[in-house]
Amino acid sequence: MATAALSTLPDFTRATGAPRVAGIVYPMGQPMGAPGDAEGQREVLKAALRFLAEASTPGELVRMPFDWPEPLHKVKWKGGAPPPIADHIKRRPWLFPRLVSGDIPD
Amino acid sequence: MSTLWTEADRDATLKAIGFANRQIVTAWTEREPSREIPWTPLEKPLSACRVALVSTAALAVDGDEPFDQEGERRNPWWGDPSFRVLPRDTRTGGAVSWHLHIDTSVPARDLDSVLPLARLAELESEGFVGSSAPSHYSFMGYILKEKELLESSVPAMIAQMKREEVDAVLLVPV
Repeated sequence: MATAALSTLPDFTRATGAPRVAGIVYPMGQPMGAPGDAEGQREVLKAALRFLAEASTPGELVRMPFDWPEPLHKVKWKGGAPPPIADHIKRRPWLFPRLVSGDIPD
Repeated sequence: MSTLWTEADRDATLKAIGFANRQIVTAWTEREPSREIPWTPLEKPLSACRVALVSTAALAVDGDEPFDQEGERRNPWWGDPSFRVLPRDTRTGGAVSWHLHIDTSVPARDLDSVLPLARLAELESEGFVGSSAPSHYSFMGYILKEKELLESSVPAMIAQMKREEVDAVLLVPV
């Protein structure tokens, strides 16, 4: 099966060996577009599928031709409480290097 | 249409996830070993292809087993490596996002922001794709140890895709 990934962190996705990567400068958690923006989501989906069909080089990475209406760092991308690992590391900051280095405890 | 992914794009996306996450993602990206990239060409035009979608938003249809959030609360280094199947007619309100790392109000308000099943059905109607597959898939994207994911969940998903004669898969990490 031919695959493509639509990613808001495409350098990371690409590094894992994904064959076709479509980068999109959208906030984490809403890669297809904002809630209610059906037309925008359609354009993103069509562009990603077109890329899947037309890419010809393993590891190809392109930028989807869409822009979020405000700077990404101003968009809240995490609702509710922080994830358990964030609390855990806040209380045990000496464990943060293990998360960064991938030395994950059992 | 598509253009090059630039340093400015990389900076904008990394800036948006905050200092700690930026350190983690950058280190993980650099640590990935270089490897041979698999390549399967698309053998037919999109208009003849059956397409499946994969989301990492931890989606489960109403009544299906939730992703295990209690397990992650007990051991924050652990994430549920299982997957769920979402039928092609799943729409907003028919699935819940069981994910502790994203804004789950987004898929609650509009499933198509993460898993565009309504949009894919429209593309099927207009003949842009051959069909939306009977089944689509969701994982929970916070997995620090990938062994069970890669050895059990992913092969099971691929087997179902093959049974359903899927031609093309769009992966949509959140």
